[in-house]
Amino acid sequence: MNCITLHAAGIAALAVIATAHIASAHVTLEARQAPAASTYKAVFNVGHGCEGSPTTKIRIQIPAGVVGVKPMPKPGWEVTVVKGKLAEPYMDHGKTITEGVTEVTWSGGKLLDEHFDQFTARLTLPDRTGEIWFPVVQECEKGANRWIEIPAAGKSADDLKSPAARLVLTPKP
Amino acid sequence: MRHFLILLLWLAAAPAWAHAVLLDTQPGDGMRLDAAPAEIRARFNEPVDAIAVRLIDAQGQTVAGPAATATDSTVTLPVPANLSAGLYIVSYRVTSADSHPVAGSVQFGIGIGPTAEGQAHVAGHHDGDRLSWVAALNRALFYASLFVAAGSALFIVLVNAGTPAGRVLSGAAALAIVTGAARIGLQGLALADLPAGALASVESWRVGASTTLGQSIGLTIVGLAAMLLGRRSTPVVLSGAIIAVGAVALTGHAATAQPRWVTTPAIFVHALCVAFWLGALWPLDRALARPDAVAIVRRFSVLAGVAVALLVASGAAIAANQVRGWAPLVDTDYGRTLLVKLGLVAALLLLAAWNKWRLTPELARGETTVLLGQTPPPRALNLHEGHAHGAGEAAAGIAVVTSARDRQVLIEIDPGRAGRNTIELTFSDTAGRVVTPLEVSLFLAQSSAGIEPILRQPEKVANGRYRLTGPELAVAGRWLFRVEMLVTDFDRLVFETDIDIKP
Repeated sequence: MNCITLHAAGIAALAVIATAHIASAHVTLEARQAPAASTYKAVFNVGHGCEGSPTTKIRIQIPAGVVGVKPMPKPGWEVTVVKGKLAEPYMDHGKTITEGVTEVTWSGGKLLDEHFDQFTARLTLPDRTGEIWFPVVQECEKGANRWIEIPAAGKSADDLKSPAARLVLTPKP
Repeated sequence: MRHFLILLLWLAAAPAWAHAVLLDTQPGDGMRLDAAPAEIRARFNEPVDAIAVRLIDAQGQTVAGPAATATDSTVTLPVPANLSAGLYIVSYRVTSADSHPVAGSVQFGIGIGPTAEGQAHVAGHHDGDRLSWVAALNRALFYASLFVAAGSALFIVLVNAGTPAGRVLSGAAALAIVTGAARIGLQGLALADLPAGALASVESWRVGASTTLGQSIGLTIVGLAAMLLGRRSTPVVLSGAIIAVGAVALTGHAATAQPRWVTTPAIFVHALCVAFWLGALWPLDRALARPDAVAIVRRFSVLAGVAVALLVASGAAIAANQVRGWAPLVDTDYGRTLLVKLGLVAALLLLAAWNKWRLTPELARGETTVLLGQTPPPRALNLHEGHAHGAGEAAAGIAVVTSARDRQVLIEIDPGRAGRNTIELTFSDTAGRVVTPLEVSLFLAQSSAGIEPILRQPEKVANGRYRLTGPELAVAGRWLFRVEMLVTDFDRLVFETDIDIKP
C-alpha cells in the first residue's frame, strides 16, 4: 500500500468517524452494529441531562422482533420491565411465545448533566438485516428528552432533532 | 499510520456531546420593553459559534447593524440606537461543539407587549384581486340557490304538498351544486395561493376538499343530489334538504366554536329556518293563485312563527358565544355586521307581524296583494349573507388540513393575516374522530425572512383541540407550520405544511 492510498483511506475513515460522532449527541448504543439473530448486549450511553437538569429515569421501548430481553440491574436504580403482547411472536424450543418484555425502565437514580452513565440489557436480535431503532424516553428532574424519532425509509437520522438509538443488523456470520 | 490510529482512538473516545440548548435570552421571549435594549443576549448550555443571528422587524426586514459575537456560551447582538417601537423577532442559528446547527426564534416588543391585546395588523385592507370577488360572488350565489332549493322543498313538504316541484327547485339545486363545487376549488386556490389558472389543476381541488369547508359542501352536494334524484319521494326530498342545509353547520368559526354542543346545533337550526323562509318566496307566490290560498298561508304563518322563534333563539346563542360582552359589538367587524343584521331582523319581524295580523286576514277577506309573497324572504337573503360573513369561514381566516400516517390535524388561523392571530389545532384520526395527544408543540418558521422556528406550546381548550393566540405570525409571507403530536410516550408524529399569511 503506497502512501497516497493510505492517506485517502485515512481521510475516508475520518469522515466516517466524524459522521458517527455527530450522532453521539443523543442517547446511543455503544455497539452500533451486530449480527442478525445474535444475542446482543445493548449498552445505552446517556451523556447529558435535560437542558442541564439531572436524569432520573430511562425508559427503553423494545422494538418488534427483539426478544429474550433481560435488563442488567444497576446500583442506585430500580429496574422494572413491562410485559405485553409481542408484535412478532417467535418459536422457542418448539413453543410459540406471544408475550414478552416490551419496555425496560431504570428509575430512582440521579445522573447529573455533567456526568455520563450506561444502561445495559441483554437481548436477542431478529433474524433479518437492516436498521432497528430503540426509542428512549429520558426523564429528568425538570423536563424530559424523547429520543423517539425514527427516520422515514431511505432518510438519514442526521436531520432528526431527537432520533431513537440505532442498531444496524449485519448478515449472520 | 500510527499517528492516524491515535487520532482515530482519540476521536472515538471523545465525550458524547449534547446539542446546544438555548437557556434564556435578554430580553426574554414575549417580553415588553419600554425602550430599545442596547444589545440582545442569548445564553446557551455550552459554547457556541454564531452563524446567523439577526433582529427582524414586523415588516420582515432584518434590522441592519453589527454582526453578533459569541463569547463562551453567550451570543451578543448589538442593537442600533434608533430602534423604533414595535414588534421584533430575534432569529438565531448557532453551532455547538458537535458542529450540529441549532436554530430558533424569540419575540419581544418595544412599547407594545407582544402578548397584549390590540397588536395591529400591518394592513387591514382586503386585497382587491379579482379572484376574491369571484369567490365572494360565487359564495353569494351558492347560498342563495342552496336556500331556495332546500327551502322550497321544505315548504312543499311541510306546508303544501300540492305545489308543483318544478323547474325553480331543480334549477336552484343544480346551481347550488355547481357553485358549491366551484367554492371547493376556489377555496383550494386561496389556501394554496395558486393563480386562477390552477383551478384546472388537481392540487387546488385536493387542498379545497381537505378543509372542513370542502367536507361541508361535499355533504351539501350529496343532499342536493338526493333531492334532485328522489324528487318523487317526500322522505328523500325532506332528508336531502335537511342534509344540504345542515351541512353548513360543519364549518366556519361560529359553528366550530366552543362549546360545540351549543354552536353546531344552533347553526344547524339557524340555517334550516333561514332556508325555510327564503325558500317560501316562490312557492308561496305560486300558492296565492290557488283556490286554497288562505289555508296555505295560515299553515305557513304557524310554521313561520315557530321558525322565527327558533331563528332568534339560535341566532342569540351563536351571537352570545361569538361576541361575549357589549364592547366587541361596536369594536369589531363581526360585532358591526351583527348589529346591521339585528336591524334587518327587527325589520323582518315587523313585516312578519304585518303579514300575520294585517295581510292574512285581508287575504281571508279576498283582498289579495302581491306584497305577501315578497315580504320576508328577500330580507332572509340579507340575513343569511350577514351570517355567512360572521361565520367567516372563507372570508376571514385560513383552514388547512394536513396528515401524517393515520392522523390529521386541522390548522385554523384567524384572521390569517400578518399580526396577531389565533391558531387552533384539532387532531383527528382518518375516520374524523377527535384524538387527544399527550403533548403538542408548534414550530413556526419563515425562511424567506430568515425567521428560524419559533417554538410554542398551544393551550389545550378541549379534547384534541389546542389554541395559541399571539403575534408569532407578525410577518406576511409563507410560513412553515410544524406540528408535533405525542401519540404515546414513544411515538411522536410530525405534521408539516406551508401556509401563506397575507399582509
